[in-house]
Amino acid sequence: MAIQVKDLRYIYLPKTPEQNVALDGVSLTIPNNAFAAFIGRTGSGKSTLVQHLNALLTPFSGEIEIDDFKIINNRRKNKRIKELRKHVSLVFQFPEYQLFEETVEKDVAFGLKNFGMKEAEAIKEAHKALLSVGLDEKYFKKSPFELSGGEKRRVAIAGILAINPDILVLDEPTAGLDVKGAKDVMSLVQKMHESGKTIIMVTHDMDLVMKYCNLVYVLKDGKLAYQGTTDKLFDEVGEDSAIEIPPLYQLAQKLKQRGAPIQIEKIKSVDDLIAQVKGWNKRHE
Amino acid sequence: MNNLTFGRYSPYNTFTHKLDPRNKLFILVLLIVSIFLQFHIWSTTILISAAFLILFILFMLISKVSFIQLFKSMKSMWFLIFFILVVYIFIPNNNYTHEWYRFNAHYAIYWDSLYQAGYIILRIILMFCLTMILTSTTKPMDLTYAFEWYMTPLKIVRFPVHETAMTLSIALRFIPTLLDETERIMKAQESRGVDFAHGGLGKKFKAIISLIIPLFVSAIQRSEELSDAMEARGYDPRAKRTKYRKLTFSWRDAIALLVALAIFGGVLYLFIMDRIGIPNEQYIRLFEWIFKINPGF
Repeated sequence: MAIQVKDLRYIYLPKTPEQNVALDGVSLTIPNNAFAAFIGRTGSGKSTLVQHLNALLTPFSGEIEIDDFKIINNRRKNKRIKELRKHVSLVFQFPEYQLFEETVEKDVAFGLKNFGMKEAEAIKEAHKALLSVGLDEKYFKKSPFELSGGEKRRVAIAGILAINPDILVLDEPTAGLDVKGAKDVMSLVQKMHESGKTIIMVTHDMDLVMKYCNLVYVLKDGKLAYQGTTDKLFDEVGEDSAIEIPPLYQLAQKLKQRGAPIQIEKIKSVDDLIAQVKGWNKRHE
Repeated sequence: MNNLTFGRYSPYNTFTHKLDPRNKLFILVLLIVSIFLQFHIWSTTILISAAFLILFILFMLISKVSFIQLFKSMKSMWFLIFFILVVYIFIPNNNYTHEWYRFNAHYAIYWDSLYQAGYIILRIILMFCLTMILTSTTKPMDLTYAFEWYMTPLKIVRFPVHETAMTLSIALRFIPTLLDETERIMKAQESRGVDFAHGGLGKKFKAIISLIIPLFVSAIQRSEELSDAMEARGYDPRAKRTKYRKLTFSWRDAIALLVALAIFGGVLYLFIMDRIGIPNEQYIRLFEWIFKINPGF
């Protein structure tokens, strides 16, 4: 098991009038080489949870085991944080806000240098990462502030990819991107997953979840409401669940309730549903 | 991050929270002035400062200001305290009389300088307590209303009172937003291996740069968006406008003002007595009377 979260609790601003229990006893496991999605409404605690994965937040109680790293509720006793952050990297929502260097290549190399790589080598690795996100030589010497939104995002993601973590955590990687930009970013993530990395993604977009992820964790009010494989997700969760069920699955659920022999777990797209309905019609004729 | 949130408004409903912000601001000025009155005799000064300290702790208890927060913000002041100490100890002054340590014929350290430095530090801490009570019991918006109210007479000389108050309230409004932003960027950079807590001066400098530049970029962007949004809604600083919240002066304000005036008056009386010079003996007797200490103290 790559990641093991045990009874994790986290409270924002404890012992003040504004105190807010963000995570209330969450336990879960994420196996190696998974493509996992965290879903849930705004404020359900998903972003808080993923920030624990590279010790940006320290648990209030409970613990997290990631391969041979262990994060407990004592900040001082958590050793090897830097190694952990090289092992687990986090791409924040709107990562373009973290750019600051004069040139794109320097910004991508910044993370590598922090983890102890020499300047020349870091620049070389940065070029590789930039090419892998689809930005060629003419971008290398540009200032990150003169790029478009989608390009900035790709530079920021390249900055994380260059570190070459084993576990990549993405907080809403497609938020605010146009259709093409989102597709580019997701196919990049898909490529990372195929090269053997564990991907953990926080998202609101169910279509992304259905298309790319194989494991789903649903959070509701700081508690884990569902964990399991993607294909069973919409079959098992009801209408009052923590997630917004896409219209396609709502239709499939309604059909099933009325007695149609629909296999919801096999539906990935509109065509699948049409095929099932057609097959069902044929049997009736 | 917690030590940066010094004096953030905390939504309780205490006596102090219910006071009129204009009144609170006036009381703050009164009390700060009374802290900064210095007396000839050092024992008097210390006694009065101690009395103030006890009084302010009482005020803090009444307004539910957290002491932990106070100590945390003190921790970030150690440099200032150190600086004051060094300056006072090493700047020579002919009036000093009590020698502590003599380096050579020309230079020595005096107890007086330590006393002076200690007194300054104590005054700063007292002022800290006061401002903290004000900011954690008053919404920033109310505070700017109070400022605006006090500045109204300046309208006669065409001073842009409303604009100033607006600028101030926007600045105050965005402090928490910027703090959240700072925290987010810090986390993002920490994910890239930046260590804000450890490392040498060069590394720390680079770490701060990686925080400051994105922060400025987003702050400037935000301000442009805000000004566009304000213009889109037809904001005109010169237009006449009504207020959403009316400030009222209640019986609570009367009580608080009376207490503050009594404290100020008392200290001012002692100060004037000190300056016109009542003889030492009498002065000590006054204290014996106030604090009911046995004669001969």
